Amino acid sequence: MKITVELYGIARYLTKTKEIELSLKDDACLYDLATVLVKRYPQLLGHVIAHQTYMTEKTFKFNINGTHMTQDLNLKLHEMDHVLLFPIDGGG
Amino acid sequence: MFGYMGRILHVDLSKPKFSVQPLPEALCKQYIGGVGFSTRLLFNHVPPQTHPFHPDNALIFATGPFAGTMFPTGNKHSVTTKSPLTGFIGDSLSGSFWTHEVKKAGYDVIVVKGKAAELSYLFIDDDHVTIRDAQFLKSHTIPETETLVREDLEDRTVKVASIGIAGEKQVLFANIANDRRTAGRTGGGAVMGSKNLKAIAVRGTKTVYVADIEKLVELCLDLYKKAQGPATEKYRILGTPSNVLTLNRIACLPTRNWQQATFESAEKVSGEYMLEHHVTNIVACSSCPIACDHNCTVKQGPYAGATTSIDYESLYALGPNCGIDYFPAIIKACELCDQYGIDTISTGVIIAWVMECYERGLITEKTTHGVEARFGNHDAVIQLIHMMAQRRGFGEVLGLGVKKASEKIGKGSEHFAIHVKGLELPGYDIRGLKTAALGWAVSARGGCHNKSGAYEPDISGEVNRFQAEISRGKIVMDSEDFVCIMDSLAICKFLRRCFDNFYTELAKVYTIITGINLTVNELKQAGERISNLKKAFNIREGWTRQDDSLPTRVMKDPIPDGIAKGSVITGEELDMMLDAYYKARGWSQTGLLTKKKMLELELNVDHKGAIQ
Ligand code: SF4
Repeated sequence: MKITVELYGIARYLTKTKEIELSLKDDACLYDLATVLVKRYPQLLGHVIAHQTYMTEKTFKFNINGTHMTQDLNLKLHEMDHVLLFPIDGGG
Repeated sequence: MFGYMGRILHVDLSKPKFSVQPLPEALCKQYIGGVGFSTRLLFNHVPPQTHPFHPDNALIFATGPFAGTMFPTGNKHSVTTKSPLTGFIGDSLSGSFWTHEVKKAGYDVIVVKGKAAELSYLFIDDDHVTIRDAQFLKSHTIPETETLVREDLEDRTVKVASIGIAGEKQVLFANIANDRRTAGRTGGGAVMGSKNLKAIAVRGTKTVYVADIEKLVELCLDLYKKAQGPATEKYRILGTPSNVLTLNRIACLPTRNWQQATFESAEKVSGEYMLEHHVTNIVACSSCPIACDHNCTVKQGPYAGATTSIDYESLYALGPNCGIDYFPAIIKACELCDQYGIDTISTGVIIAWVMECYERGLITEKTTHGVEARFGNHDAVIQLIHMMAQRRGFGEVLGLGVKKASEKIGKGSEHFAIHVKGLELPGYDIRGLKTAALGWAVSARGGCHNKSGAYEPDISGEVNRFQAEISRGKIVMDSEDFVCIMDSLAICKFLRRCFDNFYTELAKVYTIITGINLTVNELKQAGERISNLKKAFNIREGWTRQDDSLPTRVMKDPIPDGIAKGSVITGEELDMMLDAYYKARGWSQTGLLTKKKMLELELNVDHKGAIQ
């Protein structure tokens, strides 16, 4: 299935990428997406995605379609989902 | 004493007279420093119902116990006064080298009362305090004032906190600035102007002693390492302007005076764009390993040469909120605000309100003295800043803030005057952030993102941001108390994610620095005490439940765009969350402090706010 990943904040800065489309197996979950992502962008490790666990670092979360924040790597994805790598720190 | 210098400097500009009071140890443990100290002293030294511009109003500068030590970001001070913008407590945080110098001069707190006969500046030279003529500083910008004071004292190392023209003219949202940092928001600069006080110059030669220096070094080295890691990366690399794209994506970026929650040109005013095109250097406050201050310059075009630092709130207010997508104009607008000494959030929100009034035909070019105040017209933004900072023409009424200006213009413009308690709102569309909405409504200083981090549970998904719930009362309470502790230790909020256990670690650092034993519970209770005392001050000055409200637009006009489309805060939702908040606080249903709570926290005030 096709999943669009949107990158924000430091994730975008490190990868120089706003958005990418990934092809994942049909029953893919967030962990599968994180695996593909760090393979393509190893620079995310330790900054946005944690080494080994592939959870997000504490300043980031995955956001599904702009509405639902999660760190549940078992979460099943669906065709055409937008997964945002989203910084959760506010403040200005 | 360790950590503290043990002295409060009292200045009476009317007489003029100076005196030094020993800092009571009980005050240290109960109120910590910074905002805690200044709230207690404001309560004690300002008579009830004092007009903010009356000489009896106090302007209080209070450092924290970590200032002057190696603790990262510890060089901060609070500026507290009765706000002319809200009529309630006005407290702000600034910091850097001036704070450190105050400690070196031998003071924890400076309390300024009275009014000088002529424009003056205060020179604190260790134990020697003088008031000097400042006629030569009249109508000078803040950067010019700093230079001229140093020249007058023939010492380039003197540290200066000052007001600009807006403070002299008593624009109600005028700031006090030092070392490129600003105590903004609630009009401390206007109070300073009302006292005919243009600047406070400080030179100090003393040393701040620490109770256990070896332990402090060990602890700070670890914190410095964490402060260079992922926890602060956003602030260090992109700066807070990286919020533009994230908030835009989740439809929380107030645009065109909160008529929309997404901006079609967000990319052009993003932190990423800023970094690529305008950032010339990134600087830090003194003793800060993070360095979030992104200095921007315009290289070409009509605003070539403009230079200033840009943060998210300024960018939102003077960018999307005014429909501006031309970054150089935003830099110019911020530069002008910094020079005049006015709050960028208030300025942008007022201009956006003017633009909506103009586009709806409620005012004309006759009202605006020829300014074509349409959204997106950056020339209009610049002209209106000059007018309001100088209180010239239409700027006379704009200098009163959006609440009073909308009351004067009327014609329904109050509906879209974006403020709480008279303080213009920062850049988070709270219609889709319901915990934040409660936080903004109850904030003692008015609608503000700095006095509770109540947006964080919404944005991080800890709670359903579109839903109002009873549980938000306790969340907001805890968040306010947490901020009171940070503002009283007087450390930077951008350090907050560097702690594994915030309260335990900070109680330990406090004891290491001051030698005063402080438990986690005592630290937490100090936060609660300070929050309650702020509220007691407001009650004394006439606060009622109606003041914990939200702008009419936020409660009547649903977000029209983006993924938050349709979201609004209803009156019932706000009432339910207010009840929950007052209950969590142990207050009455009308939001008044109870005798039990006052005794528990040893506030030493009665229910009307009189000192006991
Ligand atoms: S993080 Fe920024 S605001 Fe905070 S102390 Fe450092 S430079 Fe100053």
